[in-house]
Amino acid sequence: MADSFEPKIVAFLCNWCAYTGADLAGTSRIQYPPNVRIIRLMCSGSVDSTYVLKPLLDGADGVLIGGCHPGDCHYQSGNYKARRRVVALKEILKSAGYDEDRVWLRWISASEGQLFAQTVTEMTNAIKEKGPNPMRQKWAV
Amino acid sequence: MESKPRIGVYICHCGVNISATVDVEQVAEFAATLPNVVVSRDYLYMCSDPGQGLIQEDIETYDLNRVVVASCSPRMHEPTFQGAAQQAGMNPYLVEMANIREQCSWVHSDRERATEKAKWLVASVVAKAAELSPLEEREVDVTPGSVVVGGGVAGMAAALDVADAGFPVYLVEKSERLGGRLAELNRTFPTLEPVADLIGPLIERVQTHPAITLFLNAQVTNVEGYVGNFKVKVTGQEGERQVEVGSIIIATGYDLFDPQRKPELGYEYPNVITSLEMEQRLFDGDLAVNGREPQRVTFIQCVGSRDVQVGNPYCSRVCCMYTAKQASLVKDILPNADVTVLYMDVRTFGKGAEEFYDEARAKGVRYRKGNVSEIYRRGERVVLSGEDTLLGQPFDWETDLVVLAVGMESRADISELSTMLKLPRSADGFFLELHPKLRPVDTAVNGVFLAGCCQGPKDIPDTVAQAKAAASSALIPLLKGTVPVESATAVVDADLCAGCGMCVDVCPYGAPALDLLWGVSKINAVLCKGCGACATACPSKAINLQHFTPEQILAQVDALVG
Amino acid sequence: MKTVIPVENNDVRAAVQGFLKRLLEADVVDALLLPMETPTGTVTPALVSDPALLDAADPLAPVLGLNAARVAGKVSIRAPRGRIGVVLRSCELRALVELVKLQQASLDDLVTIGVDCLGTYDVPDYVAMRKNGQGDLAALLATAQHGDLSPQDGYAFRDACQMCERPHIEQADVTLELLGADLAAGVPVSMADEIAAKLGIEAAEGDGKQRDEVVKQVVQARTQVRDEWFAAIRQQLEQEGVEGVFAACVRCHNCMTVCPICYCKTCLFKSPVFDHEPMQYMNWAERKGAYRLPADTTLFHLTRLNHMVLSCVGCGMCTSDCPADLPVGLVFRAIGQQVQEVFEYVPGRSVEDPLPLITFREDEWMEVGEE
Repeated sequence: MADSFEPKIVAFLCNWCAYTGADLAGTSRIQYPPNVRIIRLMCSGSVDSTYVLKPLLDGADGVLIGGCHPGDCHYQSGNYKARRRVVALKEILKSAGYDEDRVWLRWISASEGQLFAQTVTEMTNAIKEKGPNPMRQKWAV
Repeated sequence: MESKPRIGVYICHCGVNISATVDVEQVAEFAATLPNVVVSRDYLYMCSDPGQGLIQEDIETYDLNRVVVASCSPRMHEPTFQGAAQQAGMNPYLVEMANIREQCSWVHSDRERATEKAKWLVASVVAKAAELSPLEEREVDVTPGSVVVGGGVAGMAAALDVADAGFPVYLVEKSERLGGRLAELNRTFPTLEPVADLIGPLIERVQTHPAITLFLNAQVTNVEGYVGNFKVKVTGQEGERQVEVGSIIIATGYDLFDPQRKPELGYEYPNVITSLEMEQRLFDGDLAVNGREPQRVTFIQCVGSRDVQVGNPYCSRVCCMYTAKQASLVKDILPNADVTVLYMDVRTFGKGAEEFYDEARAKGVRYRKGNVSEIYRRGERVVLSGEDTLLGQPFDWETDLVVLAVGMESRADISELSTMLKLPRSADGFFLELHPKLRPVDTAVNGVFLAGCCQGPKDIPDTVAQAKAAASSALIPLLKGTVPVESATAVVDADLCAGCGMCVDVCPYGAPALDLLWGVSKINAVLCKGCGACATACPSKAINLQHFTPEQILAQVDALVG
Repeated sequence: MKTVIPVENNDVRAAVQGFLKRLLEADVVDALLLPMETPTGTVTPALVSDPALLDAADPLAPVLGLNAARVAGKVSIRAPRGRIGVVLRSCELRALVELVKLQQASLDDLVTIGVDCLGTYDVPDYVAMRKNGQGDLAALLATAQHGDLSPQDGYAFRDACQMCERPHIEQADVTLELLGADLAAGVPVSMADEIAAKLGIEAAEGDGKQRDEVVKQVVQARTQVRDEWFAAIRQQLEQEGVEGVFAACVRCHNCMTVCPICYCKTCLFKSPVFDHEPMQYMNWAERKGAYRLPADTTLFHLTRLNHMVLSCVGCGMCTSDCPADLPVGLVFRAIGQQVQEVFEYVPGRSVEDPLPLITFREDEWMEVGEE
């Protein structure tokens, strides 16, 4: 049962670091599970809570947010703001009775193709372990 | 844009790069069923002229008002397809790309699942495309001038070209002298020209060029800004100085492999030396070991190159030729000595190189295919213990002098520069070019270019060629005088703005400000870099980051989760 | 400075009215924003410039139909305007502090007059009570002295009040310190010295120690209620999620409309972003087999949590005005408590505390993003 479950993970990657890192994973032909579907944003600081909540409520099994490492933001401090927002969002999810560990924030630089692939692999495995997002079955959302 | 979206979708095979893993025909058929899609095709190379022509014809024939190309990363070819659409009269911001190569075909091997994923990615981008709006293209003036980092042959060649074109150049060199690694060499291969003849005039020109400002014993310690307008902080013995330029050329060179990392090669023995030390001896004309002329001189190639164990799987490209050169020169000085080269493969590309290699062998330099597993001392000589890989036989080879042909590595001290400029590096540690074939001197950072061995091992002609290429590329924004700036800026809907000022608080560039009269936010588009921090802070979305609006992103999300 | 407003004939309301009149007459302020009794017996905020009309002022009425921080923002936000005194309960004052940070209110030339809160009723209860000749104000005020605050028999204070552990005024330019006071004897007031000077009022010592004691006692009792309710709602959230607890939500947006913190001119959820095409609903219905309408209900509540819960002051107007009788305020307070704690943010405490989501430190939550 657990083996046949293939999670859907939506990833929001910042253009300058994480997205480029994902490209590098490709250029380097580093293999990872095809469960992650990437949406390119300019900065992790532009990830809105609705962007994370909407897929989760619609049944995505996980949401990955990828940004530049602290200190490396292309826009100086977008990732620091993202970090606060994600901390708040996850706390809200947790205290509202949801599994906040379906939301991952990770710092991945443009040169960390390997880390990107590894992150996707880890997250896919972690979400497989959790099983499908319970919201998938719910129509009354 | 009020008219109903009419989307053309183009799935690229990228030769077999995509089609080997993704069933592109199936993806194209699937795309044809998506809302607002008028035409959907697959093609061998979308980025080729005929590929772009296909899009342009369809824009005309089908009256398309959106184009979706599913191919490589938008970081690679977005400008290509935006340009093609623009030529056909479409606003370039109505083009959107699905990355089904770097983020799909190249990272997955299961054809069925990769095809499935490609469909989702296309659906997501088609959904976004339907929500796109045209944007205005904007430009700013360029600060004329370039910073060149590194005063070796690459940096000097690049600096001279930019300076000769009439632009100020700030050449920053970490050490106390110009010339870099080249200045440590004796003669070049295959012409055997003395390096001094080559580099002397070059240094002289750089030092006396009126347009070149030289910073010796100095380093770049901070970089701000973007292509066209960089602010570069140079810190040296005379303190700090900020220079403003339009482009940056990186020519930081390489490190030599440290043979102590292969202790079995006995570098601690006085008669085991590196190829660089051999250069000095050849320059001095002194090959004596323990006060005597050596009877046997043995070269070992590929030390620290093509060696997975030390983490350098690549070929350093110059060792075969400089070894042939050194062996040949040794044979000239000591015609009676046995001069042997132990090699894995001999690679002699380049003009006159194979001919030189032939001459060296004709002179009596012996080439033996073999691996050395250990070097140990026997009296005043050393013994090379290894295997002749042609004959499949072990050997013990006593010799007077061993020369280790050490390879090139990425510099240990470039991480800071890499972080500062956000310059990606490839797995081997060298700076990563934007495209290995088509954009070999460009980087992921607009306006920053690579010259010489900082990008990967190369010989002097290749280094100079790349330096001149980097100079040409760095000159483009300077000659053009303007660079395009972010069109996808944030905009305020004053009717929705409640004037809370959170956008002002979160913007690192001071782009938004509250209008004193109306108390609503207003964004200075010239200052806006398009990060979207303000739009995220704005709860009512009175601020939207154009090209990344909530409608567009949520449409993407919806298509992906579906 | 502390003083006591003398009370005659046990008419506390008249004594307070008299004090407020003096604020106008002594030209401390040009107008007062305060609760006024309407001819039909309910209470509404009004901006009053004529001292004579203050006979209808009812700042002690135990009813809250509107968190007046919102209107305090409206009348204060932009110059030019006169000097305004705003009479607010503790939860309203906290909301005002948040609105100042959100640039929806301004404290310039604003005199905040805080009144310790003994508990409020929902408007329908209050109106009914008054019609039945119940709801003796003197009786309620009498409970302030010992902190045995209790509603009229057969009625209950609003949910938010029953679990309000910040009923006392923490900081204001003028504070009517009801808690702990024998109000029949006089109303203890603390105020800035310059206001006292303008009013020509002399210091008089009230029993501050008693107020602290009573506040402590009330806070303790309320905290106990709060924690029990929090535990219950958390359990329900754990079991049902927000979509379960708010299953009956009709997305009327009342909670957002009456929320003093929700300052947006147009809520994102009323914008075209959430105005979907008919085909979109069909897609969703097909995807899940069935799709609840109005759409995006859970998303609305979770997004509202993300937008304002750090600033939620717990006034509970959302609960009071929910047509589906949903425990909106309880949910928001229970979640808010946890999130506010993470950011060590106390909404309404001080205009100096920066809003958590517009600021950051480089060296915080270093583990986030690195696992």
